[in-house]
Amino acid sequence: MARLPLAALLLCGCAVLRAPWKPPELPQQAEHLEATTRDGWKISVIHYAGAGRPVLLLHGIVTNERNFDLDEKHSFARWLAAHGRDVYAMSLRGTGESQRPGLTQFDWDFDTYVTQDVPAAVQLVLQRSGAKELDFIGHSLGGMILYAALARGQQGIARAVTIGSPVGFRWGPRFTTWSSAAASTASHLPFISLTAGTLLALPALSWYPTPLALVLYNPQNMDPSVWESFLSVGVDDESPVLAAQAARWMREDRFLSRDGAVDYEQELRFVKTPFLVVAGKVDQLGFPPLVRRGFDALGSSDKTWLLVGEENGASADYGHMDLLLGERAATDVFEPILRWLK
Amino acid sequence: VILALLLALTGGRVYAARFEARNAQVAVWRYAAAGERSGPPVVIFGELGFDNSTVAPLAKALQQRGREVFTPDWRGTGQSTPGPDTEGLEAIFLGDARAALESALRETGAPCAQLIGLGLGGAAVWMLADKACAIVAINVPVRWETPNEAVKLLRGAWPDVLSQHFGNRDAGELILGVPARERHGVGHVTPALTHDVAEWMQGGPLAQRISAAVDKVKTPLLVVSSPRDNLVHPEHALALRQPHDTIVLSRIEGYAREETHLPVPRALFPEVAAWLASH
Repeated sequence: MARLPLAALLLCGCAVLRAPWKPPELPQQAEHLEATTRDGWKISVIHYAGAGRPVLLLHGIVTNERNFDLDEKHSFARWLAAHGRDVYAMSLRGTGESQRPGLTQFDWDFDTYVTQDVPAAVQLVLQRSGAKELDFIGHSLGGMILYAALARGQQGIARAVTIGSPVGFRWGPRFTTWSSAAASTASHLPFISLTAGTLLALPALSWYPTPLALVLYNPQNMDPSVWESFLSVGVDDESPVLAAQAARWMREDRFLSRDGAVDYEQELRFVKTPFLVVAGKVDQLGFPPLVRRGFDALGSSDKTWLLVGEENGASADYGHMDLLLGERAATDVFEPILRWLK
Repeated sequence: VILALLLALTGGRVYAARFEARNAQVAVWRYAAAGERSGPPVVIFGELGFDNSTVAPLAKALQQRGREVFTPDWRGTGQSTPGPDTEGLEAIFLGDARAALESALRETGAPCAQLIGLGLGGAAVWMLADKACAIVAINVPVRWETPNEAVKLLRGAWPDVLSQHFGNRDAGELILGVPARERHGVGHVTPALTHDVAEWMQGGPLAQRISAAVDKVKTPLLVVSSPRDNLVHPEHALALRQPHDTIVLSRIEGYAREETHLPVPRALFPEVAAWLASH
């Protein structure tokens, strides 16, 4: 039994030693804005000035805007701005710099993101830029939020892109069982503290490709040091209410609102916005057949499917996080997206 | 005694017969059950352009578990004679595959068989589903609705290059890119077959017939897909609209790697056998 505290001590020590002393910083020209939701949250929006129709970027689950801007070499936001686009990257409530006056209660669900955070951010971007419409790019859960927002009639979006965003929830039986059990367990916690847990486990997560890391990225495309850097700044805590909602999605294989009244997959048939749906060939979370369900459900007449893999001309088969942070993502992912937006 | 001798001499594989099927002599191999026979017969359809070698290891594994297994050599491969150049995919699905199924039902007296399909040839399971008690589809396309460069290339290459310029070249080289040293059991592909496969991929009338056949399937279904299959993508193989069980051959599901189109990993055999036993 004496080994357990010793191991914990070593792990903590390693975490302290291995954690970057100074996280990668945002560029000086990035401007920090805030959008206020109807229920009082201040949603953080980072602005990378450019020209033309603005682009709003939305991150995935348990991450924040750093998903799109880790550092100079791994930044979709800076890359888009350098290619002439006016870019805004938002952080959902409870993540990044978004905050609420007073004590934070982790009581929000998926629909709160859709009905509160997204409308506030869209309004801010349109007001700030003076544009009538914006382009919206969502990664992972961010893409699912984009689907749901459009299914609920969100206005002001000219062209939409989802990256690795599943609409079905049946992976193989083992992963489905494991992830459903994890979400159900997490739903009983007061809040899901991933920030502290990630820092503690940083050495184990970054020194070699652990099974968890392999679920999240393809090591052929992303150096473990980039992954480590992302874990130190890009991971945030999550609401257990959202975990309960996600557990239901996986149990029933249906993309439902929390009260079950809206089946977002069914409602997508009414969405006519031009859409680009991007999937990574070996993405374990945004498993291509499950991402494809969203593409198939869309009612848009102008919709394009992009599977990022070697057989489609990419330098490698892409996993979940390397779609944004991969060493060659600019060529394999960003360029096709920018071409489509144009 | 004769059966035991045959088993000993052939390593467990018993040559059943050749059947006349739409202008070809189709060889159907029978893997007699080891020990006490259990369950209905199993008929396995391998990849197009190959004899039964793409599914023989799976057939042997099921045989060892007491299953009576039948599998054909597609026309022009293995012990089957080539058909006329004008015979294509329909001759394979409704000629060769049906002959194998009917021989299995006749030999065992069973009213239905459990069908296993692999790859493009495995799509025979959809066309013969009315005689199936259960179906396992391993990297079998349901619909070719996803445009991608590999399929585009094949679509272009099959009718124009394969049929007109290369004629009867080895299917393994042109269909799957299998290195020459690994090409076992490769046979000949007729121009009509290449034309039909191209039409299937392009969503022509044949594709619609196959899709309609898939949608009518009522029997229990197990769909197996390989994440790195660049020919039959997971979104091709998993595009079923009815309830089905799924196995994904990936690391997070406990397999050694992200599998490709061929070969079928041995780790899958026990899972397929267990699923068949429970259906």
